Amino acid sequence: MQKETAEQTSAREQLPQKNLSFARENSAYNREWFFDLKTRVEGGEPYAYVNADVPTEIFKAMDLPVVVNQWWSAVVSAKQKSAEYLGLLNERGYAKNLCQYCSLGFASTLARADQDAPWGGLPGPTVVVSAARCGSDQKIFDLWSREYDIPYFTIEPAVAAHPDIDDWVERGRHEWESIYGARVIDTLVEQYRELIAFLEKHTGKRFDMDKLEWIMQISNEQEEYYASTRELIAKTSPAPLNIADQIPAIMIPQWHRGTEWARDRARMFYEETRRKVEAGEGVVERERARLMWLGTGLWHNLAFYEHFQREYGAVFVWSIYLAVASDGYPTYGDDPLRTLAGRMTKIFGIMYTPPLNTQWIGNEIRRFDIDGVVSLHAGTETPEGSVCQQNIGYNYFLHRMLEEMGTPICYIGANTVDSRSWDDEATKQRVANFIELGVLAARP
Amino acid sequence: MEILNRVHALYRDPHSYARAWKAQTGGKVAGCLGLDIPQELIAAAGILPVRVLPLPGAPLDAARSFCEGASGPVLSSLAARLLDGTYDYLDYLVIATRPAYYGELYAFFRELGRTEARPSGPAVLLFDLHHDAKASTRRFNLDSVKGLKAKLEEWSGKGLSPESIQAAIAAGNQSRRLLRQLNQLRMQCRLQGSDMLALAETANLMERDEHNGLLEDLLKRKAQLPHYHDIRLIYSGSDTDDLSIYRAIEAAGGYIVADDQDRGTRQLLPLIEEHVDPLQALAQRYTRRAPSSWGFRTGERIRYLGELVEECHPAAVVFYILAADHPTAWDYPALRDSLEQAGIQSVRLGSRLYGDRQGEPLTERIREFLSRQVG
Repeated sequence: MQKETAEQTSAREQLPQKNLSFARENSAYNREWFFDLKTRVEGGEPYAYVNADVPTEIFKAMDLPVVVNQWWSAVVSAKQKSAEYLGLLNERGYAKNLCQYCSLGFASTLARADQDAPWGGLPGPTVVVSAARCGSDQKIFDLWSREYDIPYFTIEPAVAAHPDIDDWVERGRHEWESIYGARVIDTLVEQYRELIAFLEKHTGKRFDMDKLEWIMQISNEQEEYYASTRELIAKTSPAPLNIADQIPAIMIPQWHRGTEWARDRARMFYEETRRKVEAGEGVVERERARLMWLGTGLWHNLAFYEHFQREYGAVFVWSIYLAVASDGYPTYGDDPLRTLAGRMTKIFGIMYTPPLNTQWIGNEIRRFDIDGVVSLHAGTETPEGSVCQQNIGYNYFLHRMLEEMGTPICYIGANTVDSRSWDDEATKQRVANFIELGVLAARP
Repeated sequence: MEILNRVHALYRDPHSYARAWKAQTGGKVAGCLGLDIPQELIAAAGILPVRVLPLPGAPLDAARSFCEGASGPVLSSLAARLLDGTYDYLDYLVIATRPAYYGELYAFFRELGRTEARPSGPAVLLFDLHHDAKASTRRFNLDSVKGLKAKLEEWSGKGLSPESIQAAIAAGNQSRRLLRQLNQLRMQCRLQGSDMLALAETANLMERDEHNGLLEDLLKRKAQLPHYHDIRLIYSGSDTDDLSIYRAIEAAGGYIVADDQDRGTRQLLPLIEEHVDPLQALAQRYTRRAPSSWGFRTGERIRYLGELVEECHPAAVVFYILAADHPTAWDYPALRDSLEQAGIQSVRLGSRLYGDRQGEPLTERIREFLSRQVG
């Protein structure tokens, strides 16, 4: 991999343009929340460290602070510490190609002497919780548990063997059980009850079902604002926001979903986006192409996305974050715990269950009038590469659908958090070629 | 020895028996993908269960267009063999959910069938089994076993009586007992690791009673077995889908006295309880089988390997881990450290590519390790 120059480092580390007035406030709130957490933990309060597929709503219904693994991983990556910390993991004998996004949080705890640790470093959690989906998630959280002698709870979701896919997008908010099957929901609900008992035992906190009901209601409000915001961006050209603006505006409140603050920030996001639309403010004057970014966010280099709007008027208008917030999260039902299970099932069904995942992408391409797709996609099997979340046929079905739609796609094979694997110049060139030759030149 | 020759021949051509059986009996064959599937239940339905296996180095053409992107090498190989006619004798295919990518294969075939892009193939059933030690896991898994039973009754057109299931469990347990007796001979350096691998794997390719007959014959002839004097090693790591890795270790003077992988003697533990409700017994046994890296906690893996070390007294442990086998790679440092604390040397054979014949020569590496570390 080509080493970047000091100039390139400087350019890459520049924050993306913040086109949202409240973006810095979101970041400041996040930081303050974290420092408050550290103070509370130092005072003896418990907190939980969990993977992204664990419902934080349950913890909030217990007033148990919770840090999400991928959120912390994104913070560490944005602070340009991923190479250093992952290196410490490698020194212990953990292979370089192992899941960086999901293990960076643990790796960050190995740098105890680091005076430059992001936000002073993560405090030691009281409990850790993950699902067991890919095999490695369980290993990583087991490592947390063994290293720090912390109780660890695993959630094992059932596979939806026969999803009912007819009109699933329209039905998703209310008819999630009929889409995925009662067994899938029952399995999660039963384990959520076990999780609650585990948390009560190990933290002394008590679960409040009424509070969960409130959390579900207010988080639905939050997510519906995202859905409305999505419509604004989708139907407006030039787009008022690119994904470098959207991602922090969504993800920081998402980590705090189920709070009034998060709901209010989502409303603010919607209102400001609407204002921009009404004022005709776009991220570029002349929007020549609208791009979809397929994959997790490039946390160590959000400025990457803006390069192409400057050079080509090609705007990354879509990422999974706003779309999952719009279609995966809003979930309604009478039983809050069951509805929560529906929410978590939908989120992962949308992203990983065929044909839901490819159909969803197709819907979004039409909704946003996407001209081209740039896919992060996992690497290939090499001692250095990583085959995370193995699947088969996804790219085949996706490609077939995109061909039918006449939408070109470019695969860049990059790592979301591990800056060691990132070749900025080569990747920019690859995407630039795609925009020039695959998107702009292909137009009639 | 003729029996071992026959076993190895079947190991090399795992389809010959099932094809012949089907032609002779007119019976049905169910492919089983994953160690979590209660093959006893399938056998009780009068259906021949055969383990579906990937093969390093086999052509991937039939699956290539589906595999680009995030398909690991084992998944790609399985898909190719299920699509290219290798398993065209299967009437049914039962797919477990550990490793997790087996579930992806199920979803792929479901989607392929839905979009009618797939030529006609076996009826596919997902068998979802979990491994955590929770009360909900026990209930879920029992429900899965009941679901499998119901589907087998539909496929076979007949009910599965408790007696028929118990008889199949008894045959399965007898197989495990016989294999364990042979494994004792292996620990006494009378059977090589590659022989034991073939013996264990072929149990998943034949009718149990017939395979049990082979094992009994071999035990009767144990006096004819050679004595090996090589250095005692335990193999730990990724599943070996052919004998090349074991043969490379044996060629270096290593004697694989035990294996810690799903292809080997991990299949032999534990027995299924025979005096309780058979469906409960099956669910219990397959939930808490000998721990692999996929689905079990690292602490359980450390204990299991530690017990193997105590039982087999190896001079060292050889770790062979595929680059794409992440859970096994995650377990490795803790296993290595636990061995070190116990005074057992170990070597890790790189981060290997599936079917890699071009990488660091294994035999030389092992030979060097053995001469340097073990003496």
